[in-house]
Amino acid sequence: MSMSQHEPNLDVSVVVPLLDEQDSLKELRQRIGEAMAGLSYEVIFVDDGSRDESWNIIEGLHGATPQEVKGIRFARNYGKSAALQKGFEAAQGRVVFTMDADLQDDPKELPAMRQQLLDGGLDLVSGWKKKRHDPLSKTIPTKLYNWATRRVSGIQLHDFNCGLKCYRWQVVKAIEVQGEMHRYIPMLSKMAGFDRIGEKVVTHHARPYGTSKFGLERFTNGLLDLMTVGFMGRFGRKPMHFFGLVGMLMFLSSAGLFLAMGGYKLWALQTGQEAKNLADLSWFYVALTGMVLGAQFFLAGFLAEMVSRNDPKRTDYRVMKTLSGQ
Amino acid sequence: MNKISVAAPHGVYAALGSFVLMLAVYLIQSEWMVEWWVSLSSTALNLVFMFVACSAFRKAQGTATFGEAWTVSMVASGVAALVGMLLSMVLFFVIDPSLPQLLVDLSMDQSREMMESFGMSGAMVEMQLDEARKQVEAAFTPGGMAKNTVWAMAFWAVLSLVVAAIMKRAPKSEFA
Repeated sequence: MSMSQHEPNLDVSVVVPLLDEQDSLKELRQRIGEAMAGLSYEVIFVDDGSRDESWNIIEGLHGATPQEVKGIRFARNYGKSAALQKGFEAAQGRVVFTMDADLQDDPKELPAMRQQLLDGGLDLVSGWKKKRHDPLSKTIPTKLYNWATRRVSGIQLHDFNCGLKCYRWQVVKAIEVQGEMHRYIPMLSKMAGFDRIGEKVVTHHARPYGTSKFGLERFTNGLLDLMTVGFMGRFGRKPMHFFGLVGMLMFLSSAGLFLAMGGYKLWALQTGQEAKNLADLSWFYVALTGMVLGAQFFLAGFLAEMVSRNDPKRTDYRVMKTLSGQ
Repeated sequence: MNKISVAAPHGVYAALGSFVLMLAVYLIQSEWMVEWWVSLSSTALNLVFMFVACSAFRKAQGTATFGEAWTVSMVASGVAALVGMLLSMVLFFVIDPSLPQLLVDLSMDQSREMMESFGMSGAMVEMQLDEARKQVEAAFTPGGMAKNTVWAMAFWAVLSLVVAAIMKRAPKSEFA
């Protein structure tokens, strides 16, 4: 986040990424409006390449209340992370919500979540769909995924993937959501220094319109993304600390194995026992492979450092406050 | 600038490097010790250290005449040959005294194959091999190794001429 970023002028921004949700948009907008009574707010619909009438509806809603309804339309489907990122960039509220457009999240939750964020001095409040209206094929992988994410991130949330979340504006301006990292926004926030993360039980309704975009590939992709976020969080700025350590351990242990085998051959010679050539021992090939892999890890570490050093944002540290004499 | 103090350590490094290579090959597969690539690797290693020694001398002094470069290169290779001989003796007479006989046998097998591939008759091969065996066995005695080291130094002296020609650097003319 840039130091020069100005405080937003609205109370609330609600970012709604959507894909083919023509049936629910009007109702969603109306319910958000009811929930935001007394507050200045904006709803940012980000159409992620819908092929139905979603965009026309958004245009209609914008025409009716241009200050409160804004729209961003992608030329094609880029994914939920891209939609959220664009929404975050456009948001002008001091508190920013994200919610799905399928009406499974209830806009009535928004005021209470905002209150929890402000009163608790939190950076992020994540929704927790304690009672879900999803099939088992979705709830079981989700439980597994939440457990793994808790283990990797150290963030004690029950429902990382809940679309309903509430942020301080500084958080959404500081993080970059890309790929399919929208599942790990609490982790990204923590990595950016916003680690006061709370949770609120929210009502989960059955989907009234449309179809779920959940698929098995999202589970596998989620797992891979979790590994990426976990790795980037710990070693993103110092990849050699990971690759170098693994490479060094692998190389040294393999070299040690090689020396031990060599020493054994010399010892066997001195004691008159059969001294086999190391090439006749299977362990020799284990040691050889280990040494080659160790060297490869080292090289990978150097390459990663070079890539990392060329990143223009490498020294973008988030400064909270500065005291100076001027 | 003392040429010997610059060159000698590099000779020791070259000898140690060659010995480590030879020991590794011995431990992994003794039969490989008579392969051409082992000798070539050892020679290349010596050559590298001759260049490095000349480079270190040139860097320290700023210039190096052909004679100075040759002396540095020769001292480095000579020390490498002498220390290398001593280390080889440790391997052949202390660590594994049966190794010289194995290497003689392997060399003889290689020679036999080569002679047969040239179309020599069986009787002729045996006669030549008897003679060759005596020479190879002699090469693995302390005296034979010392003699070979002297021949090796003559070889390195010639090679040092090439190294010196490459590494010499005349003083810069103030009018250049």
